This record gives sequence, C-alpha cells and structure tokens, in this order.
Amino acid sequence: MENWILYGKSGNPSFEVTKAWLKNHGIPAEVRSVFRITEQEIENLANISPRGVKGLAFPDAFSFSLINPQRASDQTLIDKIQSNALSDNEVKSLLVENPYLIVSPILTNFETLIIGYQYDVMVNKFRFFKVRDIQQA
Amino acid sequence: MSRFDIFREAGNPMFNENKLKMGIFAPNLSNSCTMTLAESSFEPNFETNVKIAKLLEDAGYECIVPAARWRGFGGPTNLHGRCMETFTWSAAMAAVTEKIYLFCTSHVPTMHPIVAAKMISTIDDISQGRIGLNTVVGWFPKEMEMFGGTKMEHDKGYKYSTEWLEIVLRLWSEQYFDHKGEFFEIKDGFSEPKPVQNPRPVLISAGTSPAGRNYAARFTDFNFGYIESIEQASEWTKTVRKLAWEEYHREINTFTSSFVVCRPTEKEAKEYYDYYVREQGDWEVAKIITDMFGMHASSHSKEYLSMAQERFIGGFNGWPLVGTPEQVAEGLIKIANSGVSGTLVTFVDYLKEMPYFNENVLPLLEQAGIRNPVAKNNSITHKKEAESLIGSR
Ligand SMILES: Cc1cc2nc3c(=O)[nH]c(=O)nc-3n(C[C@H](O)[C@H](O)[C@H](O)COP(=O)(O)O)c2cc1C
Repeated sequence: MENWILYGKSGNPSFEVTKAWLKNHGIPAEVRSVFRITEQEIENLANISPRGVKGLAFPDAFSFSLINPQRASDQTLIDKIQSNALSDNEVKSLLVENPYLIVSPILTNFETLIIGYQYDVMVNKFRFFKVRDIQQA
Repeated sequence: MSRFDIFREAGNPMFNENKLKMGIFAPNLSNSCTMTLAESSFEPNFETNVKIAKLLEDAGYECIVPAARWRGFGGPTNLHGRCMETFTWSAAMAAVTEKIYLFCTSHVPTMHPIVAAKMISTIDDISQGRIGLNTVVGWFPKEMEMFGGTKMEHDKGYKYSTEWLEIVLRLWSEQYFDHKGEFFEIKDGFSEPKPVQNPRPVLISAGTSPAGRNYAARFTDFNFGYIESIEQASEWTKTVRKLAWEEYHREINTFTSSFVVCRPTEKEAKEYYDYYVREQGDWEVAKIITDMFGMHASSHSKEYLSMAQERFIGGFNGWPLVGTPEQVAEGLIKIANSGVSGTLVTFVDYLKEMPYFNENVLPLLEQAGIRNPVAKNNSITHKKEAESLIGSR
C-alpha cells in the first residue's frame, strides 16, 4: 500500500479541493498541516522538487498574499527567496521558521510531488492505486 | 502478520479462541436443511430469522450462513422453494444484530462482480465489519437455467468464479484499474465504499471437487464441506491446508455442517428422528437430490442409498448429532478434535429446539474446554422474547 501525504493550510481553497478530490475518489492520504512540517520533511521534499527548496515556497508575493492576506509584511520574504538572493540553506531555514511561506497544497509520496490542485495530474497518477493489502498468506 | 492474525486482531468472531466455532445454516429458506413434512414453527421470514439470531447472539455463536437458492427442488415440500435473497437478508440482519458474523452467498453467474463488491462493502458498513462472502458456482441445473438457459459446465464455473473473485478483490483494495479477462472487461474500475473490516470480509467456499478445492485453497479462509467420518474430516483438513500452503502459500481452515436432534433421553431423540425423517421425510425430493449428486440405485446398494438419503432428509447431508445432551456434546467434541474449525448446526424447528440445545449442550462444550463461556448481559430479555414466542405457537 502506498503512503501519500497532503500538506496544506485550512482555508486554502486549492488544499480543500485537493483533499475533497482524494476523499471522493477513494484515495487515502494522510492530511498534515503545513505548520507542523519538519526540517527533515522539507529536505525530503526539496530533493524531489524540480526547482529545489525554492520550489516549495510561494512562487511570487501576489500568490502568497492571496492565501495569507493577513501577513502582508512577509511578502518581502517571498521576493527574497525567489530573487535568488539566498542560498538553499538560507531558504530552508526560512521555511522551517515560517512554514506559512510554503506553497500548499503539496501532495506527495516522497517520490512524486504534486504542488497545487492539479486535476489531470491526479487523474493520471492515481490509477491501479493500492488502497490496502488484502492478499496476505 | 499473517492474514489470520489480522482477522484475529480485528476481533473477528470467525477467528476467536473457541476451538469449535458454531453457526447455523440456511435459516433463510423453506425447510432450512431438513427434507420433511413434519410440523414446525419454522418460517423462512425476517421475523423468525431475527428471533433465531437473538438466540444465537445470546449463546455466543459465531456465525450464520444463509443459502442461496432460486427455485424449489420439487417433491411435496418443494424444498427451498421459498428463499430470502441473501444479500438483502444479510443487510437487514446486520442492522438488527450486534455480534454475530453474517455471510451472504452469491451464485457468481447471477451477479456482476462490481455489484457484488459494492453490496458487500455496503453491508460491511451496516454491520460494522461483520459480513463475509460465500461464492458458489451453482450445481442445480434448473435454477441456473433460469439465468440464460444453460448451467455453466462445472470446471468452467470455477474459472469464471476465479476471475469474478479476482475482480471483487481488486474493487476492495484498488482504485481505477483496467481488467480484461476471459469473461469480463472492466475499464477504469472503481468502487466506493471499500469494506471497513480488516483485512477484508471473510471468504468461504464449499468446493469439494478438485477444481472447487483448488479455488477454495487459492482464495478463501474457510473450506466448508460435509464430513463422512471423523477420520475423513481430519484427512480433509490436512489435505486442503497442504494444498493451500504448497500451491498458494496461504493458510486455510475447514468448517462443516451438522444436524441436531437433542432430547433428554436417547429414546426421545431417536423417536423424533424416526418421526421427521422416516415417517414424515420427503423421500421424493431426497431422491431428486441424491440423483443429482450421482448417487444412483445402479451404482449403490439399497441400504447405502437409503442411509445417504436419510442424511439428506435429516440435515441436507450434515453430520448427525442425535441423542442426549451428553451424546451430542461428545459428537461436537470429536469434530473439534479432528482439526475442523467449526460446525454449522441445523434443527427442524430452531426456535423450539435451540434453547434446549443451548442450555444443555453448550455448557458441556465449555466444560470440555472447546468453547469459552459467554458473558451474559442482556440474554434474559431475549430468552423471554423467545420463550413467549414459542409459547404462543
Ligand atoms: C455449507 C455449504 C453451503 C453451501 N451453500 C450453497 C448455496 O447456498 N447454494 C448453492 O448453490 N450451493 C451451495 N453449496 C454447494 C457448494 O457450493 C458446492 O457446489 C458443492 O459443495 C460441490 O462442490 P463442487 O462445486 O466443487 O463440485 C454449499 C455447500 C456447503 C457444504
């Protein structure tokens, strides 16, 4: 059986819709709050992210502000991350300290990374999906 | 952890500590397992089945196995002519029982596996994990001919059943799969809900032919079957376990069926047996059925045939347990010691005969250590209900 984890933040419509899609298509996934993500998890996700650790942060200040309207002052952090002014380690530390900078939802089995609600990707990915193992001796 | 360990850990009654599991067979159809015109209060209706189930739950029985039948066999009883369909039966029984494990029986050629898988999952939710599935290919030509004109040839039936059950297992454990086989094509197969119980609903089969045994060994948790002697029961259990392990690296248990006539004295038990089997037996239907099983006068002695027919009349070929509580208990203990995991028991009149059996035989099985005593909590109300019902007839 495969273990999939969905990281998200409540109130984020893409997270809510992805969660609903999984539930309604019978695909079990463990839902975790992005606020509880660990450094190790961030490292593991960064390893499979095409843009490395930066790819885990919101891509621009505007998209960040849509999901985190009450954190307007932190928009500059996103600009800093995405302008290549920081090393990967510095970005990682920022994300560990301020997990709300991490884009969500992130759906992963630590091999595949699906960022945001991606209908077609999920439809193609979740086929022949083992929900449980019922064939033991 | 092995599959059996998972069942055990999930608290599945079919895998509890009792060395001899007990259930009843065929309370959903007319005459249940007896071929007789003897008087009985038994009716294959929901009300009677609920009352029987309460007696069973109070006494700590493990399961009820209904039988699937689509028409009567003939004779004056038209045996099994009235039969409550087993999926709908188990769904309703699930809603009014609490502990007992229920089975439903699918004649696989009559139902698409997607429909069956979903119905079982639905009943699993209703029963909170107490439904199992008996798959049968169908051996009674006239009933199978109602579905499309021909009964499937025997071994082809098991090939069909194999593909059918593989699809059900995928529907219970996978999402969105394609299947293309000899009998079915499934595009983007999907099913929700999945069963709630772990690892899945218990699977049983009563295959006895080489193809039937092989099917049971490959997929099921219990091979059900009739026994000819205690030695044969032991041999059967060893053989099917060996087959399952060597061919499929799987564990499997066996389970049989017995009929009970239990009275305070041996004389009373034998007199009642004579009454319902020898005097009131439906010998016509017994002949129809033994003929279908290939037991013909040309190949067997008259004595052998008549003995075989008596077993069918007594309890559809079940193991005879006729006598005092001590004698009946002794018979059950022998079954337990043979390695067979349990037996279904059948009676002419469940509501009238079972309370005596439960009160007088079950304690002897507890003393013998093959069953644990039941925690008595609400049994008194149920017993009263049953008594008042019996009294009113
Ligand atoms: C306990 C028990 C229950 C059975 N229930 C049914 C049933 O409900 N409907 C049915 O058509 N056959 C039923 N059978 C018959 C078996 O499915 C099977 O066809 C029979 O034992 C012969 O084995 P074979 O198919 O390998 O030749 C039952 C047999 C047993 C022993």
